[in-house]
Amino acid sequence: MIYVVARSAESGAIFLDRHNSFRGKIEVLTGQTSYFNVINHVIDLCPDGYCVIVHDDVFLRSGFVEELPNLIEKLDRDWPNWGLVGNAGIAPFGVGYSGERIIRYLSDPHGGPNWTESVVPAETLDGNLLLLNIASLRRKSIRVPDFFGFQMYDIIFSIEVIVAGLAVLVAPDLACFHASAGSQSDFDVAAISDSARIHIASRLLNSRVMFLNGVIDLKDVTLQFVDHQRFELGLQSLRNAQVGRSNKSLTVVTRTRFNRRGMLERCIETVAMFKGRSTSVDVSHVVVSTFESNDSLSRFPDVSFLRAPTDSRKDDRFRLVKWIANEVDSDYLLFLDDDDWLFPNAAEFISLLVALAPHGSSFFFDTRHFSEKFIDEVSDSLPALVSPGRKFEAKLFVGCFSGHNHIPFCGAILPKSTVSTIPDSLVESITLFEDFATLLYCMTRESFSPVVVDVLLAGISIRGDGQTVFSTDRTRWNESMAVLSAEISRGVVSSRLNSLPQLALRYSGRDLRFIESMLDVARESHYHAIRDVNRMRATWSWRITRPFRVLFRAVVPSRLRRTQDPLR
Amino acid sequence: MYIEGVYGRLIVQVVHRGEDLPHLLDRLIPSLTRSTTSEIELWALDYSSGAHRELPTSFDRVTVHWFGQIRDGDCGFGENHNFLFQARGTNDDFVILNPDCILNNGAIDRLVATKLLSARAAIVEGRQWPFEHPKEVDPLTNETPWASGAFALIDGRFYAECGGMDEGYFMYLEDVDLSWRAWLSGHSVVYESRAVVAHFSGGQFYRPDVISMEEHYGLRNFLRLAYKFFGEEGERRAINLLEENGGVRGAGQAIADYKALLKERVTPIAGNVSHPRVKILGVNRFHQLRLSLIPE
Repeated sequence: MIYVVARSAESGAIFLDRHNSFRGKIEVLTGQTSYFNVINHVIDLCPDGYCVIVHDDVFLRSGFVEELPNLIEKLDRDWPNWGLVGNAGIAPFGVGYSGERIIRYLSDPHGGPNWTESVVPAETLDGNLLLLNIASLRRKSIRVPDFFGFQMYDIIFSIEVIVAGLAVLVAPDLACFHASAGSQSDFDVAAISDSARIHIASRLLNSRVMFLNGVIDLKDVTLQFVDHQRFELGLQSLRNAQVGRSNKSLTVVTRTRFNRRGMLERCIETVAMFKGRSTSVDVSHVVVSTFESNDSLSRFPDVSFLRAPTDSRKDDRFRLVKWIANEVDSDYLLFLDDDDWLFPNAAEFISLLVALAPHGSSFFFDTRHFSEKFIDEVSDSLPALVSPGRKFEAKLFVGCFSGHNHIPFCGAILPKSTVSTIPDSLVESITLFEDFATLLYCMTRESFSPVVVDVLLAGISIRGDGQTVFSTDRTRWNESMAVLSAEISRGVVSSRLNSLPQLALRYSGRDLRFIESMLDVARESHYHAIRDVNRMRATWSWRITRPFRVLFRAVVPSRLRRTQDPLR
Repeated sequence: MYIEGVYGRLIVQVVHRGEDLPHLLDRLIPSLTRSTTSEIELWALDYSSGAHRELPTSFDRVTVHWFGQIRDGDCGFGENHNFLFQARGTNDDFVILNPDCILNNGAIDRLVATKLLSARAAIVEGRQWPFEHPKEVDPLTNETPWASGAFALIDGRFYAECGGMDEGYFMYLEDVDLSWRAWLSGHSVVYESRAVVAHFSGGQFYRPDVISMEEHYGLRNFLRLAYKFFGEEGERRAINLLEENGGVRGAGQAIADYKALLKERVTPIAGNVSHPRVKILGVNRFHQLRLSLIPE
């Protein structure tokens, strides 16, 4: 059943005419004063297991109704805990080159679709078109509050569904044209409604909630409910979406020469903590080397120590990347040097992302340098001194196309299927910058699908001594960069996207030049205005009439002069 | 000093939730045995409700005394640690440790050695990695205004004499309170940077769109601490600090909660508190800052 919420009988009739081929499946609801009541009415009375609620200014494509059962079958199979699906919403993570959290599978006066193919978990949906799993909603006794009007119902409905434990999703199969931009001013008024904000704050730990039209600020009301059982919207949205789905697998790979045993132990301990808190990804840790493993590491029974074949004439670091990608059976790889470590804090969130993002995604996370000083760099696990340093932000990953690496190797989780196809010619020709080469190779595949998450995933030890990145002789680095530049230019790790950062810079530069030119115009106008005033004050007529102006100000009270202002 | 208790069998107190058990068993307890050469008594308490798996009674050199929730309802950090201290029935020194930590090799032995050298020390605090707290430490004496309760060695006699932790905070800042009472009773609080614990504390991971419980309780308890040690004037200045420059996030609710729930149950310390280590320099800032330790 498709329920159309129509502003009038006429607009309902127009919708029916527009979708004549399936008008028998459409019920027009007119004379409504509350979209909230419509939702409750539909949940209570819909005779089917599923239904769609649409605005009367939505244009559905031909075949929409015929293909709906396929979508429902796909949702039941792949997202068995689904409760509500829309065609636009806010994801708990960023996607695409811009790291955008807004997912749009529709066209409207704001723009067109900005993502493709994948069903994505969402925190809030846009209400132009909603697919309801009536049976699940009834099973969970989900209802929305009986507020008036036609604003915020979609946000509150999404939140109610998530709080009740069901998944809220955005699906490309529901794409349509929505012939309305909505009323931002109406929304802005609704967004400061205390009733709505208090209702949301009683459900969520969040102090702000994002949706397509903006942000609802809950800062001043959220702590009234500090003792309530509440949920963090993004995390709960992901947890619900994962219910009934299988886990993905992630292999953390640590390449080592076993010459920093203490730091390697630290690395292993933190991966184990990360693994312990990962709920939706099966994490395994592989330590790989061309050297013999150290006996003292036998206390880590969960870690696999693999010895890779070596070509002693050459640095093996890139070869190990390719070798391990072919050796392990895993969906994703994370390369963590033996002096790096993982932060376990966001492990559940990250594991849910990896499990739920489109298959084959590449994930980018924040990382941070830490300056460390060890008393004994061989055996000490934790440093005598440490201070936090530079932070690498995940959202800048697209800068890698500029020819400079913006993402440390431990800041990316990459699909194993892609890493394993890095050409041997590339592996054999590059020694250093193997991390950058691997990232670029993944980022330039046709299947590249970026997911951007601004949480801190890994710490990077910076010590100076014994780290190749600090060697004063740059010959080996320069040689590798020469090869990498050649490979990019030849197209082995290249795509047309290489020009993207330059384009962005050009546009941002153009904006800057425009602002500068506007400033110049303003400065010039200001200059001319002052010059004209000074010229006028210098005229005889102005000087002669000055006593009259002085007299006027002295005699006429200022209050009266103000009342005269509009007359001038 | 009760070094006999410390050296003969080292006592460690941990209060935890049921979900912490895998980490306790797989990471924390094994690290305990690497942190000291002494025999260890682990006094652990699961403060979460519901039935949980108990810890084994022994683990290598570790003897475990495990307790479930001490009563229905929520018990705070101080109340749980006081319970463990009283359950032991001795005034031996003890290490207090958060359940999400991993101790570095020899970490507890370093705390013990430092305490032996610091006759006045009531609390010897270890250093947290990777985010060391950026508070001041005297370069000659290693004295510090207050010690975190995440990893510290506490003098048992001092703890008994001062009545243990103030349970009125429920959660957060009871460690600052205990430290200040140490200073005011003639003891000292010492920082031992060579005793290191891996503790991925939450501060760096707070999200801008979620006000954490730590933030809320921290602000509320800040007012309680200011009132308890500095009276009405302290409370007034603390409220001013929360409200100035447009107000700290969540200040309004914290002030309301403090006035409604906490204030009437606090008895301010009599007389004017005047001690160079007992000071409030900002919202929840009881120390000068070491800027090199603050992430950009």
